[in-house]
Amino acid sequence: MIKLIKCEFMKTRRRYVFLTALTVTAAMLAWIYPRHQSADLIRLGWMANLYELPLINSIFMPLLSIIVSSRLCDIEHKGVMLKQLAVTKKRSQIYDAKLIYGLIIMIFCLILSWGMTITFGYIAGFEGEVPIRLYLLYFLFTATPTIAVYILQHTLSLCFKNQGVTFFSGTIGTFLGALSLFFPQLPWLRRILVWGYYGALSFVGLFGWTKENRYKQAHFEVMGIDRNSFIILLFICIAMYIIGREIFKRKEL
Amino acid sequence: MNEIVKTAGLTKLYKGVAAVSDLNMSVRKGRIYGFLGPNGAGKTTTLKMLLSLIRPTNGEIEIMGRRMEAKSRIEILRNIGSLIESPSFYGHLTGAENLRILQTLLDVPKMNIDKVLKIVRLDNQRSKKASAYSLGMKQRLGLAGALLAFPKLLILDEPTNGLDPAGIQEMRELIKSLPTQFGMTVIVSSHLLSEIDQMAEDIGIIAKGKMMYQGKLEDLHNIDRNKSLEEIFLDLTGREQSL
Amino acid sequence: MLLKLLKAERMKLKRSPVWLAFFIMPIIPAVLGTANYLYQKAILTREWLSLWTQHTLFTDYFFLPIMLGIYCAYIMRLENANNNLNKVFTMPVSRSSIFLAKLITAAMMLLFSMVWICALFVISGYIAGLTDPPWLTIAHWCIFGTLGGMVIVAIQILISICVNSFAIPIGIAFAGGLTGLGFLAKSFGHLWPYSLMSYGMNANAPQELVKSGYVQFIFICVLYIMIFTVLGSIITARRNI
Repeated sequence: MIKLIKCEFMKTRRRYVFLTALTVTAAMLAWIYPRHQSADLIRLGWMANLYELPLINSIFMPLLSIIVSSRLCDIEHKGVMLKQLAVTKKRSQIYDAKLIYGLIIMIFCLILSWGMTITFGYIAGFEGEVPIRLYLLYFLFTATPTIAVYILQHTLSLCFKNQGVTFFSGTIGTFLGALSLFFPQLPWLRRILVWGYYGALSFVGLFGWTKENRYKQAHFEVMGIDRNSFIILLFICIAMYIIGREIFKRKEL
Repeated sequence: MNEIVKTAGLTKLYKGVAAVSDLNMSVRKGRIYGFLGPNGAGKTTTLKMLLSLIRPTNGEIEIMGRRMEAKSRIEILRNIGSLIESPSFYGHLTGAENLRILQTLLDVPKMNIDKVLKIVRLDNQRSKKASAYSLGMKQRLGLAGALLAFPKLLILDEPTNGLDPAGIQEMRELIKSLPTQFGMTVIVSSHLLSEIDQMAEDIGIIAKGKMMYQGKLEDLHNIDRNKSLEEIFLDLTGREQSL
Repeated sequence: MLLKLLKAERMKLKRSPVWLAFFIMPIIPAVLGTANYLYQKAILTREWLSLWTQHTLFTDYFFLPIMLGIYCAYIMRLENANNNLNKVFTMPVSRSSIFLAKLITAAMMLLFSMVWICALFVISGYIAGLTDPPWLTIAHWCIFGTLGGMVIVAIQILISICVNSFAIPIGIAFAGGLTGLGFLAKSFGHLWPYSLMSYGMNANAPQELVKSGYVQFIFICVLYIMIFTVLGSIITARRNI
């Protein structure tokens, strides 16, 4: 297995997968950073982040997943390598190796963006200490949906030669997921979509925001943490993995 | 004007290394010109330059009496059919649909599609998706595309690749019939002497980017009566390369 | 020559139901946006204009640029696969018209989505109980959106020609959409290529396109399209296969 993952690494030489992922992450950070500017947001900074970032993640992380997974799998389609690989290694191993390599890249980007968000907070001079427990929870609640989405994209990229399929379905899913965050009235909407769990698992609410005063008298509060959603999501991850792997195993090459 | 293709000092450097160097090629009208050389000798590079798919580093190309340059490119290409490297096709389209696209771009009558499909014996498979074709069928489809406009000049790069023995035989007979039947001139490349020997009238042998021999095939036999054609070829191209 | 190429492009896209993606995508914000509008009717008082902001939320900064990016990458990938460029470039057509044909093909898809977005908008407006749609304004959004979007299409085709990859051009489209929003927020949206589409559609943007800016907007869009087309033609013409 280790050998296979090493192979994955060698295959992506000069393909700049990692660099592509880092660029997208950097773009995301560049986009977040200027938000920490108004005095009120500096006062409320740490909590404001936890309130706002799930939406940004719900757009970025799924799109990054599409790009990374497609980039990794497209190498095989282009070189018509799957036939070659499938006769030397077990299908399930091929599926796993690529998945692990992709997830390593994704988790690296997740950690990077998480760390940078905190660093940005300190640079901007957010009031008080970082609520580390909440931030760890936030990391967990960002990483898990991302893993679920990645497994889905990985399966699509690997099974469809035509990467248009992967990209279009992934983008439309992301779109639905991001929009579902704007519908607190319809809580089921974000739970029926893998892409919606960034919203389903967000746990900070904004109170007292008005059009006139904006954040002046506003405050953020930790609301209920949706344990059930998290458990459902874990099951989704496992199910997607098993189903995806099975589909790839049965695919005719 | 007896020559349909003429190059002078044709050179292509890749990062300073010559893939083709100082090549003077001369193809006579109405003949079958066998372009022979071991793998990596510069055959495809030369043919691509003739089609202006790549730009020569140096040298000149004259096709049908006109210098190949940006201005004349389109007019010249109108009279050339080609099959370079592996055949080109859109996998999600059927064989006939692939030809439809070329027919539109070439501005030739629609019935040419049926004609060429019949010539390459693909008429039964015309409504099958090209991605489902076997290697040999793809090759035939490529040839059909090259023939579609019934061009004056046909450039075929290793056309027998992927064909079975019967297919090779058929392809050979087909190529041999083209000059008399349609008045075409054919340049056909190969790394197999035996193949060229059976269909070409004129021959150019290229090795390491240089033209080692050019002339009538029968004159090649006369170089050294005591040696077989195979041996002469190996002498010309350098033995170590043909391994 | 161009007509032939366009016809050929259309044939190439047979049996690839890419248009389906462009058909489905605008329905999502239309349904959700209208629902949101109905929920929040109390705050959203500008009727059609409010509904428009609900409809275009995200579409123009993120998802339409990405979809266009995917489409352009897809069109070019058809050529990059199976040696098709060999064939296309030995056809008796000029290389710059090959680029132009790709550009127009992608622009047609853009126009299709714009018209579809606007049609959905009017339909959902009626469903939401609004009357008397501002036809002229909608036509403006549609036309200017297409014009601004064509700038993105031109860049994306150019990138897809230069980079022989599927994912990278799309990553760039994504990042481009983001920068587009950034430039709009800093009020430079009228100058930045990736901002022009949202700017032209007045899509929930921090920077609004007003009547006096129309001429300038058209000028900048046309200028960009020309620059990228010329650049693309040169690169296509000089390309070695």
